[in-house]
Amino acid sequence: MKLGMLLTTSSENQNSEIVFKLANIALSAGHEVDLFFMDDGVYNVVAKNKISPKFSELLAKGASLSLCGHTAEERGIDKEDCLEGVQYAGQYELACMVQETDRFLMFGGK
Amino acid sequence: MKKVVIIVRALPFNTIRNSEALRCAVGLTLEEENKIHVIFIGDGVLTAVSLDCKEALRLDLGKHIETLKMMDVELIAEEEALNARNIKVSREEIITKPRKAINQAIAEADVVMAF
Repeated sequence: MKLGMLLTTSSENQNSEIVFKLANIALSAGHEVDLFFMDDGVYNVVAKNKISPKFSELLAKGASLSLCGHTAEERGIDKEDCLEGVQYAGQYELACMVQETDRFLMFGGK
Repeated sequence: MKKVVIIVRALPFNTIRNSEALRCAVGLTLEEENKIHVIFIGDGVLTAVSLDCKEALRLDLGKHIETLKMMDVELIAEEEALNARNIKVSREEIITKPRKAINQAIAEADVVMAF
């Protein structure tokens, strides 16, 4: 099964931990995992961020991580600021991810 | 085909969240196999009202709404939320439906994205 997740909150939010744990479990069970970071969610994959090693771990386990380049640029985040292996993408890639994954979950703020 | 529902539930003032929801909806139409519905519920129905955006400290979301209509996206505002706030939808692109019908649309969706 292919699991897709969209994260739109920054790393202070509990969503980051939930997404990490869900993705980790899915990967351990042999599923494919695609993560997309948008809005404040892009902060999760900034290399200096304390939570980023967890997302590095997911990359090493074979997860695909992409972020919305537009919202990253709006926040002054360049490609060089992000974890190696994270793809700079756009809304088209998100649209394709929604279409291609068997289950798609969104984690956002209220 | 996947049925995707975008829920807009927050006030549209002093935030880019609603604009981002609509931008995301526009992006999702780029994959032809996605059938997109945008639903305004609760405080989000204020997004469906034409306002003097500058005076109301609100981003002008009109272009997103026009684009979504052009892409055959169904835009729905919750009747009960409009009535509770004593307002009416003032954009022809947006239709109103009762909460029961909206709940049904959400229940039938393959993907729900709430902003």
